Amino acid sequence: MLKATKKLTIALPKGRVRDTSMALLQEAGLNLTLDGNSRALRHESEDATMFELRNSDVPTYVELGIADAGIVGKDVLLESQSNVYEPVDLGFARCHMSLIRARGDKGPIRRVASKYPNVAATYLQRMGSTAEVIKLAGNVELACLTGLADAVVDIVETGSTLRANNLEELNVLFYSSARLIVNRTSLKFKDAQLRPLIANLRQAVQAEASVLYNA
Amino acid sequence: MDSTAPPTAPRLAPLTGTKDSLPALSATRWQVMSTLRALYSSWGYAPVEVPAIEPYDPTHPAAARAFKLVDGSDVLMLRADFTPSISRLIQAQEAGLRPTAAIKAGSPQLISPEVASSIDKPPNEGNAFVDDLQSTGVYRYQYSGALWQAHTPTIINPREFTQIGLELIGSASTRADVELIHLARESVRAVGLVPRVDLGNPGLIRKLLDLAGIPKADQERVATTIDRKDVAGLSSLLEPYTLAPDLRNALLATPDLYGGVDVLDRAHKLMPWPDVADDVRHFEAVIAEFEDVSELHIDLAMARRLDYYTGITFRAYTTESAQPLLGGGRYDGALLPHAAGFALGLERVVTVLPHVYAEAPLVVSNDDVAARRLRAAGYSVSRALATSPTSLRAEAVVMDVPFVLMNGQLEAVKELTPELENLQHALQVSLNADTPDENTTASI
Repeated sequence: MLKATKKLTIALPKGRVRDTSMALLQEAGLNLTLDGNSRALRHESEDATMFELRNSDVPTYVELGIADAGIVGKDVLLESQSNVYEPVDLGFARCHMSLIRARGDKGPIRRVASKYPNVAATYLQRMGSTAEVIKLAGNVELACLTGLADAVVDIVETGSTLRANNLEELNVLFYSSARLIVNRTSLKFKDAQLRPLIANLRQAVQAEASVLYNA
Repeated sequence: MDSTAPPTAPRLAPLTGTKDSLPALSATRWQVMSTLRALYSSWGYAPVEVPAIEPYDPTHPAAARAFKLVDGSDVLMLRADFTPSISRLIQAQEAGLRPTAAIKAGSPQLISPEVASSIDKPPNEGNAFVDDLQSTGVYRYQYSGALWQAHTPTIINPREFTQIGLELIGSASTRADVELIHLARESVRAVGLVPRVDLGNPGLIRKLLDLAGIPKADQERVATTIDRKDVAGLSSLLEPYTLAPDLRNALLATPDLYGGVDVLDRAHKLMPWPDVADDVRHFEAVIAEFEDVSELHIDLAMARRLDYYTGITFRAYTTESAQPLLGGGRYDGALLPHAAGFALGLERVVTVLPHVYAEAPLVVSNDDVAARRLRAAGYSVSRALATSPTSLRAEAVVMDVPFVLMNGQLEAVKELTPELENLQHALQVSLNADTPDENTTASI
């Protein structure tokens, strides 16, 4: 449950997103430092405690209030269906979620494979499709090349996997990027720490965007 | 499958999303229930009960989430929300008792003669209460019980849960809103936690969305981004609409309109449109009724169930819990003309409370007459299963009970601490006390 301390607890996904996130948080005035021990799962610094998690666990930690805030992709956030605040679009880790199938395949879509079963089911329902969804853990594209499924719902970053495997995107479900997510109770009780963090992050993101567009 | 488990091992755990309560948990639940029931009674809320099974109704607000049952040719559902049932109960009660007729007849139990005589006069500002009464009576009801919802169960949303709540029906006045907010705050205090009550108004958000010309079908989606404080998502949903700049600004500002009462000043500046400004003023009137606003906060981005809530809504939080403990608000016209209420999640409260000890018996007794005296004095006395003195003492030891009562004699089976010694003395006093004739007591 929520700690009485006013120190913030931040959940970040392992890997590239962690490093970009730390840099952004730093810019927003939150000093996070990595523990010297490379196996550490929890990093303590003066301003905050940072947890390093698998990205799909970030919404769970934040929704249950173990972490006050976290950074996670919109794709993972939508799949988790968690009830949190998402006050800042951080603009990095951009990708999009698409319905994908083998190029030239014209048959009916009766079965869809995805690492994002909730996202896929919601989309299919909205489109009036009765296709069933199979949850897979990785290399989802293989499903529609082998006949396991007629199509897949997956994220596309550069599109190189699609080209290499002769796949095509039929429809883009949504565009995704990293979001700052905040526990609902934490925002109320740690307002003094979280409100400036949110404002500074928005400012940092805006500054970055204007550099990009005016370049 | 665990291959080491015997193939016939019975399933002992209850269904996922449901829970057993052992004595320590159960005692805590009962204590919280009785504290809150007493609180609501002390504010004049009478208890009502409604059935746990009801006819399936596709227009019921929780119809999609309700467990359905089939009984012959009837489709039934398990109670998934209290408010519609309480509304039905009130409508049924109203059908048998027309308050308008009763007021006109000067019925003493509903209204004083002075008020009754004033109702034929043309309405004026002072008559709002009577105007309310003409459409329906005023009811203050409390309820408690289990609810069931069919969904993938999570820690936060189980299949079976318990709510304690109340409804204040028949008035849409500021005083009615204030009363409910008072009670929401008192509920959290009563169970020993420090409250923080967040106030919002989905009705105000709906008015903004109407002004912006956002079709009803899309309003809930837009409102969800506001509720999640998702400014980026909100901004992209608003993009296709041609909006006056001040209206777009006002909408984009709503996710951040949370904090102390100064939020209302900001809202006033951002939202000059008469209908919306009325809602902000009502908010101010509600806040003005509180001497101490330190535990009250405003979050104008609270924007769930736009088609249901019409006025002020609120949620109560406490630092120990990541989830709100209670929630509710005004839903005029959704089920009844003027209605507001809230419900508290018993499991959410109990999770953050230390468990109380279940009341263990203090005495094991083979003497029914003496035992009756102790029970009448408020002590818990278990009736012995053993027949001989030796096995009776053994029974007490096994049950971890400090005293035995055999043929009128009280005896300690545990080493006497000063505390137990006091207790023994108190028990002895109750045993020796002159009690009314046993037969008289029994006949009462």
